[in-house]
Amino acid sequence: MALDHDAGRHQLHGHEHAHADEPEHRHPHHHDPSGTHDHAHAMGFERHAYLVSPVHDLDPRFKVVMALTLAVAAAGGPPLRAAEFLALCALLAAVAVIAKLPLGWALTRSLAVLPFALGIAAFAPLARADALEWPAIVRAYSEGHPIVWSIASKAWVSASAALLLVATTPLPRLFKALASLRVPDTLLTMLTFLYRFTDVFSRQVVSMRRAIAARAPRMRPIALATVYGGLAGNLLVRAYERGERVHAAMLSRGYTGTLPSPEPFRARSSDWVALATIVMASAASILY
Amino acid sequence: MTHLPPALDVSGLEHRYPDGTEALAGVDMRVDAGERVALLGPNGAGKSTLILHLNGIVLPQVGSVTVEGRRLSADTAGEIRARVGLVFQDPDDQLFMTTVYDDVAFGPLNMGLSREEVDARVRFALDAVGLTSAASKPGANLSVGQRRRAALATVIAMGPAILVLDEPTSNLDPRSRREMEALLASLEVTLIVATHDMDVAWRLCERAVVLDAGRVVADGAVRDLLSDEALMVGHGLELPPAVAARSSL
Amino acid sequence: MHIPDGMLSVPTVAISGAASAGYVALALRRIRAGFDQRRVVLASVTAALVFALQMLNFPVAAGTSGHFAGGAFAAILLGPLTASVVMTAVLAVQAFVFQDGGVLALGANILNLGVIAPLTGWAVWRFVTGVWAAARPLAAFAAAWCSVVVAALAAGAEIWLSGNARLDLILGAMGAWHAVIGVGEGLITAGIVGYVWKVRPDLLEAGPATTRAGVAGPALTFAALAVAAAGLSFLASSHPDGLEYVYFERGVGRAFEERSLFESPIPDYVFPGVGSEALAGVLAGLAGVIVTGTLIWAGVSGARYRRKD
Repeated sequence: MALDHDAGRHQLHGHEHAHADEPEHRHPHHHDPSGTHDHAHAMGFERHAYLVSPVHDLDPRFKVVMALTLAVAAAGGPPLRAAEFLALCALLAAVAVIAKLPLGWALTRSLAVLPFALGIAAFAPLARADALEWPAIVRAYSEGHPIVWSIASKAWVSASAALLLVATTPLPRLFKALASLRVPDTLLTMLTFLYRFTDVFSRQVVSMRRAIAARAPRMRPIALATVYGGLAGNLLVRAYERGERVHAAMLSRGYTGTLPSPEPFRARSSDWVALATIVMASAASILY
Repeated sequence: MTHLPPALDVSGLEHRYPDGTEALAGVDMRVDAGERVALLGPNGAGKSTLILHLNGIVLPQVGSVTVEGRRLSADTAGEIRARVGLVFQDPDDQLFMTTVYDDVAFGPLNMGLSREEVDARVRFALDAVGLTSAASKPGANLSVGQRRRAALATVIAMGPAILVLDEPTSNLDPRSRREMEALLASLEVTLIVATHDMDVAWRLCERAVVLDAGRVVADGAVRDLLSDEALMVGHGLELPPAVAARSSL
Repeated sequence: MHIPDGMLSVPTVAISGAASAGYVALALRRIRAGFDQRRVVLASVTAALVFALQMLNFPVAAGTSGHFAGGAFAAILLGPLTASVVMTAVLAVQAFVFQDGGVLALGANILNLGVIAPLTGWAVWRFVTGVWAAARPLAAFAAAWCSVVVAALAAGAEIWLSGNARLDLILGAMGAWHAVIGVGEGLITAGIVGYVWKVRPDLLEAGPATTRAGVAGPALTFAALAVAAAGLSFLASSHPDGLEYVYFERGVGRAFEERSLFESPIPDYVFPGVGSEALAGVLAGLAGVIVTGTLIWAGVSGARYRRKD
């Protein structure tokens, strides 16, 4: 049979079905006699990555390029004017709607960048104050407050672009795209393991932290950090031993130092159209 | 069958860890094609070390391992690994790729097979363990029992002649344990199962090898060895519940 | 310390991006040349561990918390080059998946947390363990603390270079803040090293060998830089109602209403600079250290005296 990876994957879905109460979901469900479906993904951000939508369907290589283009256009150019900002918002919202992402969820996630960005941006106007005295400071803020807006808006647009990429692309597919975009193999091995084992280790962190909390509910920060140190050391030794076993398992299956190269992607016209749209919008926003 | 070389021939195998601990002190074991052998022994008996020798993850320091007539060495380790499939105790060690499909395809792809052949093997292996519908899931999202079966599929896809499993039923609930046992019984390969689960050894295997302190202390029919209370208890093991119940009557 | 997008100017983005890309490419090539696939696997598992350990957050002050960064830890364990690749993977996932740090600013964040932090930590670690081999946990603490502070200063400098901060304020704020966060990072790293040394000392010896002389210069420079900067930033902000405090507490929330500026209960005194109160704070701290040290010494020698009896 033709071995387009996706095709192979779809045919393997013996149990694919849509739920009445939620959008069509491509995630294969295992047979669960209790009737409940386990939607808990290793990392919460993947909650919507397996939906079926035109955006999810795009070639992930193109999506990577599109997200980068948007981020460069928004964050790399001059401060965004209101019209540009609204246009970009409309574009991002449109992508989110086409992708069937819940808008509230996407907005909450993307707004999470603001507290830290604003924290530093709040000081930015002071760069224009020639002395740190009240009149100079007041002047600096009355003239320089747009910089706060500029930083916050750029941070948000760029974060939203990254969010839309990851929310509509399962990470395994994203990593395959990176592999075909010639990201070095060593880095890919690290990303793959990061994805696969973070959850394994996180569960250990959580259970050990619970054990600490059970025995010492209230601890001073210094004592806490010291205890965490021992915990982390313990985890490290266990992680290393796991690494040795994983390496043995890889050797058993013929590992020679590089991950097997992924299925080549095939770009379709829809991919090119989407890319062209984003590039034109970005260029317009910069040139306008 | 007698004219064929044994599937596996371990002779005079010794292994010492860098810190001087002796893990194997001269192991001799011969397994014919199609046999199902339970490898028993207390913790620290050397079972895991022996298993790692069987497909050349660890090479013999003293003695030899011969698989289907080929003697294991650094040169032959590659081809022997394709013949001897190793299923580790913790499936998280064996599922390191991002999806179950990629994990099962990892071995066949490294064997240099064509995409079509790889896909056929992945489908076959996932079907054999009943995980066809989980192909695109990340390994982390499976239940323990499913992960165990997925780990088995990663090895089945390589088409090994000998399957070596380390504690395939530990940490499984009774239903998953029964499923795993039935699955293993359905495979037409030579099986070597290291286990503390005397029930599984009793039902699945016809022969048992008891290892203690790096040596083979008993080798014979499961029915004989596992009902020998002195032997079992003397080496930190126990009688299978079925046998224990019968003898206490 | 993950710089979001919008904060850095295009030249800063370009230069820091090129610097970190070049460095990481070099590191990747070295790893490839060494071609130890077992080390690559172990480093990859460590990357996942660093990521998981970032869940460990510890309270710093005023309801905020810092979390483990891991640059020095990775460098001590894997050497600075491999550590940089590990941190690159971690930071890339944070930027794209968790929107922690900007996409364009990724180069700068890799430079700070993935290149400068491991290099600093590694140099300090090699130097201290070279001088006094038994002081591993201390060396790990110093390495981690210095790595956090120096990386924070680098981030501050990049923001300043982009014209988005006053140098004195940004370095003061970043330095002071991360001097505190660095203590948590240091304690965790020291704990890891102490534990690993007891259980698997081979892991700490597996790192690439280097001559002590080669790291003395950078180690001392980084350490001196970190200590001096942290000290200066504490001087600048030891005032409980320092300028940052005023802006955070009164400014940000209220959009700098004129009212809050002019009805501020804080009088207009000269700022920043080493006011007499700040100096007093430093002196009191020094005095406190001396008094405590003396008390401990007295206690210990008193105990010894009694045992002799």
